[in-house]
Amino acid sequence: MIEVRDISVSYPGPVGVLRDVSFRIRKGERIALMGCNGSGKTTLIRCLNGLVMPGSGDVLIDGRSIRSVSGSLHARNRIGMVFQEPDDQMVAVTVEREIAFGLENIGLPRPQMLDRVDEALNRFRLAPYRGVSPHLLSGGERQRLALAAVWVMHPDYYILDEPTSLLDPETKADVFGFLDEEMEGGNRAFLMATQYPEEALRCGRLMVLFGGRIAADGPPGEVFSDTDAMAGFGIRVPAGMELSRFMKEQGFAVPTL
Amino acid sequence: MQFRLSELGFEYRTSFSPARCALSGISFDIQEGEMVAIVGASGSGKTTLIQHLNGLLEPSSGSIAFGPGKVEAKDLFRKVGLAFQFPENQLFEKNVFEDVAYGPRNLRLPEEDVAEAVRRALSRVGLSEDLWRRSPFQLSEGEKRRAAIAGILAMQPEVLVMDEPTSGLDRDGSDRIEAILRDFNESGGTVVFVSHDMDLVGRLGRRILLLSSGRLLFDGTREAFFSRTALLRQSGLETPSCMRFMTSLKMKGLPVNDQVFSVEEAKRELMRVFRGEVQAET
Repeated sequence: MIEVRDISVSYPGPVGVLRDVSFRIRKGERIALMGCNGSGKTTLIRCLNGLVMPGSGDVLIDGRSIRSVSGSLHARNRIGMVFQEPDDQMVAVTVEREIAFGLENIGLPRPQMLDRVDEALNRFRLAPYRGVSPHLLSGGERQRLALAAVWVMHPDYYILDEPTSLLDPETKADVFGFLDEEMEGGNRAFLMATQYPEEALRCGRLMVLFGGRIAADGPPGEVFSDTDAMAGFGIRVPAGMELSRFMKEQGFAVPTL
Repeated sequence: MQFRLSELGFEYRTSFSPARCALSGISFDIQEGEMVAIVGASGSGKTTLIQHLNGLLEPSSGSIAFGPGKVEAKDLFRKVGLAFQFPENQLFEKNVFEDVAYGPRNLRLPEEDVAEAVRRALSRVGLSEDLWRRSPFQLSEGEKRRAAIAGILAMQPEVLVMDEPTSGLDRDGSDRIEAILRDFNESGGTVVFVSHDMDLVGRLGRRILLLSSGRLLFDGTREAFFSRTALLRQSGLETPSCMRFMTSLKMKGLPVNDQVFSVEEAKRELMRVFRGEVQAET
């Protein structure tokens, strides 16, 4: 479990501030995180593995504080982070080395490492590009590579910051297919920041950040049903929900779809 | 005619990777004042294609011509403003005004004309005067993207080409970018944009080009494109979400027209069907 306890973060300037944010991520949970730009989503995500250290409050990963050396190492091993721009996390000169990077860092013996890298290359359909520089891949291939480099570490928690915003619908579906598979057995959890309401509907829980606070938290269908509040938070509601609501307001019978 | 592509092909060649054929046999014209959306799977060649539109890349085979009149390759960057994904990453000056002034200054315009172009571009993207002297890094994400677009508009291009114009922006931010593109187009400019967001493509695109593995698979109107269900499925694309809702009503036997491309259009269609109200098209 990831437990966020009363964290606050302030930067100089008015944006990106978190105020007394508390919540838990339990294994088996599929969480969408929405909020307008500047609401604190990226800061919150960076707090979860200690990339940003909160000014006050604490984050516990499986009971270990992110502020301790062992807790911070544990966070880095157990949490897989995927960012919006895969380029932000590319470090190596070839696809193969990129996937191997994390495993090398934890000192996995070479034969095992090579096995795992092969497995990742196949699973993410990157085998033809193993010797290619990541920068020559297309946007979608780079995002698959970012996922592969995270998956190869076998994390318990996936934290994804708008991972699909540059992807075509099919690769988006790939990301969800991948997450669905990872969630089988209920031993993992994910939290995904997104601007797309349809993606939030595929999760079990939707958290909305507004002004650095959690403004709503619940099943996505319920959270979105308060369309006025969502408008205030600067969040788009799924078109289907907005139109069903419109039909109800106008007194038109909405067939069950 | 703004662009004419004839059998254009492009291969990526580097010393340490095998050649990858990115585009082949691409032929189409774009007329002045068109609003064109380019769609297709990741890796289908969309970004490579638009980099040809302002001369960043030169075709390996075939040709691309720019009109009206013959435009020298070195002048293309002036006529065709190209914004990459996340253009705000290229902001660098000490304040917003200076950043937007960088382009026109490079054209060696007199300083008064530079200032005038900058002021016009900044008001066009809706950045109020109190932000002009701020560091670009103090702006919100949406404002940064608008500042980056202002930097392109200040060069007074005839064509605006954008790769994923609204990605990563919230509702308000993307609505504003959409309005900028629409305004540019309505005042006679040609717009070409790449997007994976079919809701955006439906609202904004008038003509759709679909790329698949470097080839042009479809070229036609938005209406024609979104009614080709088999093609969409085969390309891993879907219809806009408002259209999907209307299609599902239609499947339930309601006599609605599901060719709607925005939530507002869908609402008008529902009013028409349920209330018999025919409202003026906007």
